[in-house]
Amino acid sequence: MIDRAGVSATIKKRYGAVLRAQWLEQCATHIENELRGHKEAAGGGKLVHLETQVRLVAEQLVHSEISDSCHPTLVVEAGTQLAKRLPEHPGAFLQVQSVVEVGVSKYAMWEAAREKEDFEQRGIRPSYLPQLTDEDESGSGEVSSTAGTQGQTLAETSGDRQAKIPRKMLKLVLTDGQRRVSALEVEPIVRLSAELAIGSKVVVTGGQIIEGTGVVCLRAGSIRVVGGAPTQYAQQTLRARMAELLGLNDRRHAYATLDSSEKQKKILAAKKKLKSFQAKRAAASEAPTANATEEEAATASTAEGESSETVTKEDEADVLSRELEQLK
Amino acid sequence: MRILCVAEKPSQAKAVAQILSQGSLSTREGQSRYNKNFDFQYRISGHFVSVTMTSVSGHLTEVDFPATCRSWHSCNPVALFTSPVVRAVTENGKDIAKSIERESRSATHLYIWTDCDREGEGIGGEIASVSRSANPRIIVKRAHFSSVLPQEIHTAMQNPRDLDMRLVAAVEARTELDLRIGSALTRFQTLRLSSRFASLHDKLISYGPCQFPTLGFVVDQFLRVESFVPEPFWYIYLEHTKDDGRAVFTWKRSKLFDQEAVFALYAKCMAAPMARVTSMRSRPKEKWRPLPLTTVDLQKCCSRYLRLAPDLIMSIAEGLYNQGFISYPRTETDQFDTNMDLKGIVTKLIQYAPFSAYANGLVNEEGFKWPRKGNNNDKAHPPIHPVAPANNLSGNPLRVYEFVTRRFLACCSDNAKGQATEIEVQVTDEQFSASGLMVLKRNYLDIYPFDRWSESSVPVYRQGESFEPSVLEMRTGTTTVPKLLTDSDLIDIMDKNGIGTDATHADHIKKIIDREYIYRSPDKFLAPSTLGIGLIEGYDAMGLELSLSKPHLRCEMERELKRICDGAKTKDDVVRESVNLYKAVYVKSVEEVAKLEESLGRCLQQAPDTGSAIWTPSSGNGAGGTE
Repeated sequence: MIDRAGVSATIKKRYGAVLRAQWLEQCATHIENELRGHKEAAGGGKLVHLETQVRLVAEQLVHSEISDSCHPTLVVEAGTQLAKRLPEHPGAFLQVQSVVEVGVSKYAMWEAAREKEDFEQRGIRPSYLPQLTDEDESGSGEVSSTAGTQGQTLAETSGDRQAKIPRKMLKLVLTDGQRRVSALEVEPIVRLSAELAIGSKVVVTGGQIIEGTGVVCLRAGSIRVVGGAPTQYAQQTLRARMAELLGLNDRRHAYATLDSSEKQKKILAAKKKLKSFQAKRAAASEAPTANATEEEAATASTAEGESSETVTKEDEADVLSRELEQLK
Repeated sequence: MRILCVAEKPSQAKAVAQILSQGSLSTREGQSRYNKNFDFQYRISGHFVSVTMTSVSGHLTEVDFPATCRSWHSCNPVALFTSPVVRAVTENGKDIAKSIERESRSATHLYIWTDCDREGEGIGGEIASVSRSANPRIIVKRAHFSSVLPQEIHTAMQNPRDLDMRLVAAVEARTELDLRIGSALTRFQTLRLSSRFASLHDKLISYGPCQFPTLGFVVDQFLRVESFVPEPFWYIYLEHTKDDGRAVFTWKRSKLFDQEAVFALYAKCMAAPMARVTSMRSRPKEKWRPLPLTTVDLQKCCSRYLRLAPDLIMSIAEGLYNQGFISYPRTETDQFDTNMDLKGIVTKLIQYAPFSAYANGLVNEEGFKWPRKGNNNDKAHPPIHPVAPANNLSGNPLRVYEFVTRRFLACCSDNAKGQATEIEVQVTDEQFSASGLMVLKRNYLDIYPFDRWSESSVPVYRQGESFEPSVLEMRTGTTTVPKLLTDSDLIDIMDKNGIGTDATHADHIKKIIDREYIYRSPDKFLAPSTLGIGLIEGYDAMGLELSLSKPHLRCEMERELKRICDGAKTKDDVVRESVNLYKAVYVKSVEEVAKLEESLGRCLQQAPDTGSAIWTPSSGNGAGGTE
């Protein structure tokens, strides 16, 4: 009843996805059984239109694990394994493996996600606490003045505060089932958000890939969210992901049992280490030739390249802790 | 016609009587040692009337529970939510009340001269009821004034209003609610926890509907600091050195917390590392003078710049007000009424030696500008401002007076003016900007050193010009751990979350310090004690949607009290609804007390005692109130 060839071709033309025969077979059989059941109940016999067939299969497709359902379509450089180019129209059919807000600290994201959840689930409005300032202590960066009340709307200062997730720039890690590619939102794309479900399916069209990095630049027209929310990723809410990255769940009480002078020492020690590392880096880049920085950047990128292969959830945490270790 | 005037404090009675009598008054002892009577003649509508001015010392009456519930062990605390309450004259007030009754018998009119805020109106209501009990036919009026200035006092005396019974109702509602809720929870907490933890044996572990949320803010910030994880970030740094100087450009994206992302964008820039000037603008820029001064702002600024504790600031400000140097210090208004003679006040300040030259400049050299208008107006008092030059002050009162005066003069000055240069530059698709500032006229900054405006120079660029950056590299930084709250921060948070009023913020902070829930470190940061943390975490663990430690309950109650003042709701309705709400929360807290104990045990590092001496709500002596 399901026209495997016809559905496959239509889906490829519409979404760029190349369906695996085995998966399509399982999916089609499942749908046929369902339909048969309905037909008997409805008492009639009609052929199902191709459009409807495509829709039914697509519904299953978006909720599937992409490595099961599709053939990989990304083209990579032979040597570096970095993405080389994206397929032409309709584009690359990819699965969202992670969505991270990179313009805001994870801590601030975690607080915002927690407040939003508290508000939605328990009706507790967020209280006004002082704004977190993500400033550089050594002063080498330009210190942005804390927006404080200047940035707040009248509604916020005189009435109730809204629970909002901060929004600056998203970085997605997309996969075709076999390889991963990072994508950066270089200009704001309204349909994306940090709360996008992990495992959703997207179609990326004509995105520019930055030379030597394999990172895709996303602009307003280059990504289309198809949908889907596979159940195996349901636990990975924004709040849960941030808490995990920050290692927050066990940290709080461990800290609380230390006495305050020990905590002070810990904080000071960490700061000293970071300072000395920054001083070393600054000294190294005193002669600011493009070559020196490229070298550093190259080592960083291979580290990133390595991590792209592993498919575990701990990915982000590993990278982050490795970076923190490097800084220590 | 004979008028009895009653002020809120003895010192105020004397000051007002001096003004009204123009110096010729006679003093007479009253029933109370501290509250004397001042007799004089006053001219109203052509003829003289006899006036006696006396005072109370704050609230005259108080609410309490009847004898059956008064003692801590006499009943189950839950009964306190529904038990009747009685309003009676305070112990200290007995003599004062007798005095008022006596004077009322021979008076035809009663003029209330208490402070013109909600509490003052409430005290006025108490005075009126005491007075009426002795003389039911006395006519009650209310004098309205914002500063102890002769002109205002005379106007107030000649144009008395009626007592606003809605404000009186709001104060009665608040005192009743604070009594019920505070008593029930304080008894429960103290009796239970002191019987379970040896170190809390003789401590009073009080609960107040404003105190706890205030403590909650301090604890929340502390936990934020403790659980903070520093995060590295990266950004693109662009610098260009020219003959006429060096420009440091800021990346439009500021910074990103992902090294791969920044590196990718940096690599894009490095593919064609030429910067193109997309815009170069020079335009005038102004730094705005401050808004007129409210109580919250007074406390924030004086605690931050003068490093004084909020309760000290308020008592100094009250002293200055009673001496006639500044206007009423409890106000939310940040706009001056157009009828006020502000220029006249500035002229008076020419007599104040340190600011004489500046004030002179404002008045006689066309420097005066009408102050900015804020968004708030409590319709009761103007913003805090000086009313007379105070040439004999010293120490902290002098510092506070000077702050108020500097602020006022700054409000009446012009904005500071400068010229800003803004350059925008693009490298491939990434945008950067740099700016310079030249201060042309300091204006208000000359009298208000608390604001800073620093100059910076930047070289000249032409629109469309291209250059090769001297430095174009990726740099890194790390987020810094947030700080604990200062007094200033805490008052700001309380204000934004609707906890307490401008009159009470400082009191709540003082109270939680007295109870040893928090302490002030030598460098003026507020940190919670282990007891404070244990209590807050314990109540939070109960998972109450309307937790006792979060501000929502109190914020809602303050809103309801405001509705009584606006006549939108009756006192009985508000009291009944709030009582039901808090009672439900209380009952839940009793059920889940184990969580509170577990949290305290962890924070105090003690295991709760077991044994027969544990207190439970039903260990009270029976009788008294329904469940």
